[in-house]
Amino acid sequence: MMSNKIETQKPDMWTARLRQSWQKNLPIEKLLPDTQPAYVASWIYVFGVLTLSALAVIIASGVVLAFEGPSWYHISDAGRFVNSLHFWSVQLFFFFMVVHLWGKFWMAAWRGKRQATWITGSIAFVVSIATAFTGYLTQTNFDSQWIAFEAKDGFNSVGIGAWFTVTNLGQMLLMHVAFLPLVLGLITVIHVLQVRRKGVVPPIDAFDQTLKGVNK
Amino acid sequence: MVAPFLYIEASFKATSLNLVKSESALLIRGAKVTGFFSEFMNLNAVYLKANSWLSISVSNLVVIISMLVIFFIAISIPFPKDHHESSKNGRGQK
Repeated sequence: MMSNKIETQKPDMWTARLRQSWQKNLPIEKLLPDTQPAYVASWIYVFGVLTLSALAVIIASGVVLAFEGPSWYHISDAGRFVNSLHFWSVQLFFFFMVVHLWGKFWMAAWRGKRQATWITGSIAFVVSIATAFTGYLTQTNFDSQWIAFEAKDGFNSVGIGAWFTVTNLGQMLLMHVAFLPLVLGLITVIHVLQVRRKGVVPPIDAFDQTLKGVNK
Repeated sequence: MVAPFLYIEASFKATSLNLVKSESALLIRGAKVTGFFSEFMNLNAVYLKANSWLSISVSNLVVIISMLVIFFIAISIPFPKDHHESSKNGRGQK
């Protein structure tokens, strides 16, 4: 009784509003479901999870690289292995993400009020490109030098070269290991929560009475 | 065999970092690559050009075609059925 009274006395607190909104829009049954609609049993629905898996490997290998440093990952066998693991998981990440993007585009995955899911996915795609780009710039080899000096003219031509300096290794490294992964991780979390909130989009031809109101 | 590009790069690094001889050798040895795949990865890119507006490397073209192939396989090959938990109304699936 006491706890109920306290709760009703503070309905305008932002914590209470946030809790109520969360419980209303994303209850635990939606957040951690143990069943999925039958149409999810298709290979094209696998690529979102594959993208997330590749991202997990990228983050894990990136953390190891950050702790050990370039004097380790440029020279030792183990370091070069983890460096390669980081690089190739990025290739797989983009490979899976593009297939995921094509699948959702041709499925018109923004249907059923899923525009926030689509938009956060699009932003995640763009931020991923920026993150990978800064990664290429921090390889500290001739390849990164070449990419930096080719990109420099492009960034200068649009007027942001002095602010986002691709030849500044320190700035690019910090962008790559601190700022951009944080942004990408945050957007990815929001994207996944949106998928959980609205559910996985059904195929266009999957409309039936049980899905009424979902597949519009 | 040491790929020329990596060997030059490693030598350059060893010089620029003012490393002692043993460290230089370690750095250069670290740049050694073996096997077909590693050799292939260090070749210069081959570009396809059509007229003056299209230029794409064969590597990028192979990746794009691979993604298209995987995409069409993913939408055409049936997903394995779970016989134990298949639902009667086709809505839910464990």
